[in-house]
Amino acid sequence: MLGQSKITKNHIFTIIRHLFIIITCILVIFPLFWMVSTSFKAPSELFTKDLRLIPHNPSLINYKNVFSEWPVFRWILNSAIIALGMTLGRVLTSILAGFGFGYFKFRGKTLAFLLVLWSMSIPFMTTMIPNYIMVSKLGLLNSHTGVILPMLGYGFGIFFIRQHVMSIPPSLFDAAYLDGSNSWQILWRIVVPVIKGSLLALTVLIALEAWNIFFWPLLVLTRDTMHTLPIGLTAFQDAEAGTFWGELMAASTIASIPMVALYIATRTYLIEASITTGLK
Amino acid sequence: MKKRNSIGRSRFITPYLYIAPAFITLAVFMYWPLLYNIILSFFQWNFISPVKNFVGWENYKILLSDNVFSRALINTFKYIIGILPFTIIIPLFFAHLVASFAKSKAKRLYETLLFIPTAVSFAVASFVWVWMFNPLGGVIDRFISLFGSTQSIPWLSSATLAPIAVIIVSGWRLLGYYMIIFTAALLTVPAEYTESAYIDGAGAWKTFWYIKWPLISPTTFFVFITTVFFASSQTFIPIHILTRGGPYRASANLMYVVYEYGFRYFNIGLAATTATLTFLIFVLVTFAQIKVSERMVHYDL
Repeated sequence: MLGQSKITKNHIFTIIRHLFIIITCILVIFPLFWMVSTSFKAPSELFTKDLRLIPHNPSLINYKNVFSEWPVFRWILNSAIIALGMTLGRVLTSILAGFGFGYFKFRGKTLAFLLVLWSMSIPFMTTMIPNYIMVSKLGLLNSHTGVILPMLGYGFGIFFIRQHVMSIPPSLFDAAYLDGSNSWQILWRIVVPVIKGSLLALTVLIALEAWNIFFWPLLVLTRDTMHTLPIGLTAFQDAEAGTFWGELMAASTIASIPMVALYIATRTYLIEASITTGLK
Repeated sequence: MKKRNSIGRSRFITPYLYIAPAFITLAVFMYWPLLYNIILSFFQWNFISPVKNFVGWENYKILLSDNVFSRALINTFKYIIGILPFTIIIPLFFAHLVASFAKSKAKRLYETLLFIPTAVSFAVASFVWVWMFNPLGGVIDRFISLFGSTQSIPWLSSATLAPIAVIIVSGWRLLGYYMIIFTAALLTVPAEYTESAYIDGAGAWKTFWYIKWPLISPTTFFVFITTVFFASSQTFIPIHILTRGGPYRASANLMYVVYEYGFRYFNIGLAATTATLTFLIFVLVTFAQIKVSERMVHYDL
């Protein structure tokens, strides 16, 4: 009885706030829960009238079908190759150019940097047709290179790295220069170690985008053995047989696991990187 | 002192070598295509034929006299306006709410859960929602039927609901990313500012509105710009998977129309013209945004 009087208005307010956010979390996460739950449902449990949040007889049949009837291993491999190539390429070109803009003074720098900033606001739809023509003329349709190449120049990455390079105290550079280091050594021995947290965040952001990229591969990779995982998902919708919902949700689960895991593991870096970029 | 700061930093050719890889790829796959796209808008071509016919302003006339373009333009703005609450109001609200909790396991859990949808691809997000919207046994209908209704909501086949479905899917997918951005922004507001406001007797709402909101305005502006960008490009994926632009193009935005003209009807001229007009609208919008930001964004922290 004594304890109850201690529950002040403030406590109740806190409890309400917690309850409110718990309900929101449940709502936000529900679609993914439903995806995983469906992936374990045998066909007989897909179209039930009751809510059936959890399958009565969990089954692995969808996962088995996914791997035996569709070239999912091939799709995973394609996604991995493209994600790796695009991530490495973007990170590398961004480091080099970001360092170039942040460290050096040179003629035409302002104009070049404005062009880089501007590239961030050019919608892909305004360049996709010429890009498609170019890639097809180069004979790169249905190739990983054809997907990766036009994606390499990354305005945001250049801007991001430049901001970080400029926040490094100049005395650090000068000391290294007087020790006889050239700019290449300064980049890899000073800049990269100093900004490695943010660099990791940038890498994760690019990897997320690269693993999940949909539109451009949809145009370039038309052969089904060349599909990436997100594109491959469209194969579960069949014009005649309808949609294989169980298999589709199983493949979606498989496609989501690596990135969700990566995301949870690096969440704090992402927040920190957003702070230090300053966005100003 | 100034001179000292720049020792060794003005070599003649070295800087250009550093920016070359990125700059060349941008030039080849962005700046040049942008120009080439404008050139293509004056031709009639079907991708395959060896000759491109010069048609002058014909494509522009066709496009502007037809309602496909204007409807797609309206839909594009509809998506921007519909998605903005999911990228500004809701994430800011929840970032603020979660930030107000004391450090605890529960707080970490809330953050993690709310962020997760962002790690999922737009394609997965779209397919999962198509399954939830399904008129035969979709979970949303099943849930509603618990309350006695037997009607199924035609999410994807109604001209009014289809764009809303696209907005829901995109909003759900983007929410977490913008929560990260606002969580970070709120962390940069110095505690002394909010504390002194509190001591001066300002309530939570006033503290937010007069202290935090102006201080995070650069972030809000950044979010606004990226939302315009996302809402006009990334929505392609939910549109493609949910509705294919239908019913009767009710959910098609400009990007979808470019895709349809180009890769379904192989009318490159019209596709390029749509893209060019979109680009011009984007330039105007970007310009307007910069003008607005000069008046409303406070960079003085």
